[in-house]
Amino acid sequence: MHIECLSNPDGKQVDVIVTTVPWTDSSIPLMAPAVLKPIVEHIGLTCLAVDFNAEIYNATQTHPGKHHLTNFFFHGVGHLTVNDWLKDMFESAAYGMLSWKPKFIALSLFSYASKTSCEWLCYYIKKISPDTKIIIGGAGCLEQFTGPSTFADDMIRRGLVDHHVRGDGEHTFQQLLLGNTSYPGIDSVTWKILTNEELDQLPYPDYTDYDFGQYSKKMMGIQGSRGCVRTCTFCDYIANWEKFQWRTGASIFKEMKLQFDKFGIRSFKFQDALTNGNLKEFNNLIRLLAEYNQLNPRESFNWGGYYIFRNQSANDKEMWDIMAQSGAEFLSVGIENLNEDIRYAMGKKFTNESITFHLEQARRCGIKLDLLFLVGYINETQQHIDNAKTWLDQHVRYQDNLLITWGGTLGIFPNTWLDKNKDRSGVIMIGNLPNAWINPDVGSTPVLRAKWVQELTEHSLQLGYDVKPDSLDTHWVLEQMIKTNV
Amino acid sequence: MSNLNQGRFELKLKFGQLSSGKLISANLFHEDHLCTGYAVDITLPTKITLVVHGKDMNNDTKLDDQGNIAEDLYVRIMGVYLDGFNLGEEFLYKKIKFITDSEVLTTPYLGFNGRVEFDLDRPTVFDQVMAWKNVA
Repeated sequence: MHIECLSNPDGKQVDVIVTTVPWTDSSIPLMAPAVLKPIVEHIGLTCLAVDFNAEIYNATQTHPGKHHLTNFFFHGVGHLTVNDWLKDMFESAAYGMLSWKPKFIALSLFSYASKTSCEWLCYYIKKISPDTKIIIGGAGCLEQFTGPSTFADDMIRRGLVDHHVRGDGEHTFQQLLLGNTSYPGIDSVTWKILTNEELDQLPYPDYTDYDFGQYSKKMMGIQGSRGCVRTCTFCDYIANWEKFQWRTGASIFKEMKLQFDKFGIRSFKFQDALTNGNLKEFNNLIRLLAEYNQLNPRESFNWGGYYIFRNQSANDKEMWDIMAQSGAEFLSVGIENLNEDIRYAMGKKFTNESITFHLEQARRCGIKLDLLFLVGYINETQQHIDNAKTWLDQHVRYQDNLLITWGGTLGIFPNTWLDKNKDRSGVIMIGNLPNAWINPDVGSTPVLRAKWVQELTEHSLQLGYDVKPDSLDTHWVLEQMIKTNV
Repeated sequence: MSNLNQGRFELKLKFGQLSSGKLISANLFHEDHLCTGYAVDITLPTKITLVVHGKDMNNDTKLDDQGNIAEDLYVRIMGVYLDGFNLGEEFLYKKIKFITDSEVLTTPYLGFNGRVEFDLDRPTVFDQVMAWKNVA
């Protein structure tokens, strides 16, 4: 099999290859290799940074055994119609990478669906060239945001991987390449968080080795912050990223312009947990973008990303106007719950009145909203679900501007506030899975919460809301519970 | 690559013993050669056999007053690995054939004298793992 992103007709050599591994369903480039390429080059090493996932993702879309390929990537299960293709793919990828004679191969795992590929890819690389060092990193290595990575530990024990990098990878990865393997974040649970200054000084991602023809959307990822300003009780992301780190609006704007000059891309998707965590810098950014767009109407920028609602304030109408002028096209907003008391208990302190205000502004400005929910908070009852349905009834006028993602039911993840306060919250764990909990005080059980997701989904669909398909993990949760006898 | 047909076959076993301390015997054979322990380096294609023996069918299963098994002599296959790749629960419970004198049982619980044959008939480790982990 010819793998274009790894082809090396001139027999060139690089010190480091950084690549994504299948399988991630993404219509835009995955960022990690582009982020790490300048980090590698900064210490005088050469680097090939490619999005191998994109090429394989596209190949699977037209393959007659697409379903079986997806099954392999997610579950490691083969099928007669795809086994030869997969073997050829892994063998070709390993030879393709090794044709560059790298000292290090770094594999970025975006999600848990990258594990199977990672395992086989490492197997082939080590079989062919046992001395080539393999480094893995990314959220896909972690079963949960905090705590050890069983997957990475097992890969190292089996000799398939040499090192696992976690947390803010830029400095960690650089130190690893320099031979400082005791640096925090290398084969360790703890890692060193970058300061705002360090984050601001990182070089801009370099997509030179990417083939933009591989993507259905001409859009690029960008990161303006890490961590979150909120301290939501259920959130395991903040249990891992304990501090909010942000870049200046000017720095982000400069990066957008540079990427446009270099690659002609004018659409950006912020990969932050929230774009407007630092309101001052967010305002700076949207003003810069709005000014730019006004001066360059034929080359205007647009963007989307995660966004938090706050309580309505005096300047908010103007801010929505500037956001529209800045090119904001879609915002994903973690509403989580349509009951104020539940939302406040979660740590999402904005009123229902403010939600309606922001929905009105978004509609007025033509900015699409993806509302994200988490069903079945620890003290949630049928009455709350009924209230949510009433809210949906009363807000159908906004439905053309909304996408609704009900998501899964509440999971209690290690090291979150909920996890640390289970005893006084009335929550009792009934198994090892995050969703395996009950609250006898309010009669909350996994089965009831799964039923609530179904109820809300059906109700919103009946009202004509656009509900994100396949967003439910409810079936998965129930299956896992049956498997583990919860 | 020639070494893609080479790997390590490994079984993880759990033994159930009687209060007297008696254990069932289980021996791994690779191409008719007795292996030390339950792991062996192999070159595909090949055959591996786990032979279970030494159980007295009249005395080595003890029942309590209600007729439940109180003690049993057995060996249970807890895991099968080929070059570190775990073949998983589906393989254990659906594809292990335990051949006794009188019947063939699909189970990893080996509570009789008999044998399990692992026929590794594919050319590479990838092919073999996928063949065993194939969906029907």
